[in-house]
Amino acid sequence: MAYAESHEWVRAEGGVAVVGITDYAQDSLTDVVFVELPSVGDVLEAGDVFGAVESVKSVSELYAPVSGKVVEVNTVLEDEPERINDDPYGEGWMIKVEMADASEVDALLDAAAYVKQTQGDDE
Amino acid sequence: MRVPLHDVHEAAGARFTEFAGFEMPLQYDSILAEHEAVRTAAGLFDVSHMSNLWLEGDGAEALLSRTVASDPAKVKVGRAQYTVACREDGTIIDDLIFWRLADGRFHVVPNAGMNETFVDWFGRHAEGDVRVLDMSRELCILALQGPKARKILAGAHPEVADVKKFGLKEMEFDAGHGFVSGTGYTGEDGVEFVVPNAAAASCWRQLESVGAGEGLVRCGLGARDTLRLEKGFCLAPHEFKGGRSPLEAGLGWVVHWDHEFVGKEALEAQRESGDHDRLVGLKATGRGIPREGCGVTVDGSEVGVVTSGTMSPTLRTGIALAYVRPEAAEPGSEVVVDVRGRSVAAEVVKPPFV
Repeated sequence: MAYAESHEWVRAEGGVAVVGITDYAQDSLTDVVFVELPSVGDVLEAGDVFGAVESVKSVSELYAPVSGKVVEVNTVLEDEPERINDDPYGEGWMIKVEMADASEVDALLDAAAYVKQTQGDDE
Repeated sequence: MRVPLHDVHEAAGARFTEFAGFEMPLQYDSILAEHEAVRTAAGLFDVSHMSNLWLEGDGAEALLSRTVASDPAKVKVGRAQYTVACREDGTIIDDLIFWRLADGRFHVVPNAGMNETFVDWFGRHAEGDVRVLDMSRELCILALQGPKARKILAGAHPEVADVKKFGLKEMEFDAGHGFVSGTGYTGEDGVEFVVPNAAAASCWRQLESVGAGEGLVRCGLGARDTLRLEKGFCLAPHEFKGGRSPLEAGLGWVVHWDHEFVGKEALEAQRESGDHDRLVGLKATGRGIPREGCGVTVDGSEVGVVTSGTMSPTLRTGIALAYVRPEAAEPGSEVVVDVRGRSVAAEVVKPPFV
């Protein structure tokens, strides 16, 4: 698993990247009440805003950790956005992207580096 | 600034937010859970950031009468009234609740951070025998709200359990005088305690203790906002921002036209013409949450702006308050809200939403 500084995670399954937000992110947001996600077929560049996640009080944009075409969207989140809080790495997955360049994952943070960064954020 | 019970909230795991210069609990656990508790059981809020002023003397009633849009002469001893203070041009300075504790003694609660404004406002209009005292930092306000609130009140303070809605009963604490009032900001039955600072911790703890058996949950400003918004209540920094009159804000009902008050002439003219924005409720019919500042359009023409918006925890749909032109204000009208570049369909509704 790999992580972006902007708190998205990526799990590569062959050439497809599954993307969601981290436990740290969902804990900071607390109750997620709304998610705005792209459509299947949308093409993303790494770093693009691909959607937004909203808590009661705030709106946070979501940034594509890798480039590619969106091949699947977790539409269950439309009615059950709380899955992002309950299971951020499992049922809270957001989109699947057919990667244009799988090596982009190498540019992301590993678990240790991500945790270290969040500790820096907390200070 | 911190409220006297800050450490109690911190120990209870509160996350804090800044409001009107105060560090206040935003939530203790989950805003949605806290909101649901108030609607189904009971919630306990510390709103000690609010302002508290005492008006005392033979000239107190006349001063209040001159400076607010409602007529305090209509308010008996032991009763509360919600009203607004207006500028000469009819725009709202703040909304507030006042109580008549006795003839010549009023307790006034404007919003947090407004105490100095009101000391000045009252001072400027005072005539004859009247004293204006800023008690804001001497007193705490604790709100107990929800269907179980009365039962918890009866368990914790049986001697004042029969306080009526919009009534008050005085209370004696070791630390001094206070009162309990049949008021609140959630739309549920409930009461608010005004207590001297030194009595606040034990008052809070006792309510927690008695409330534990009734599902009482500590609640922060996050839930306070979703609760008030579901009922269509105004929150001053949102609904009165930029200068709004009570007629625009849907508060014409607080105005008593048969007494003299600052702003009356301007409001009479506005009432005559009827040509002013209206604060309406919007309920999203499409997916999306209208937020403060979002533009409201009808057939592509701008008709207004959102002042408050959230996901209604009870309805599970976006709700908002917005000022719109009178022609777009009819309940049932369809509008479009521009939410960060995305068009969200919404319907005008007359609050409460819930």
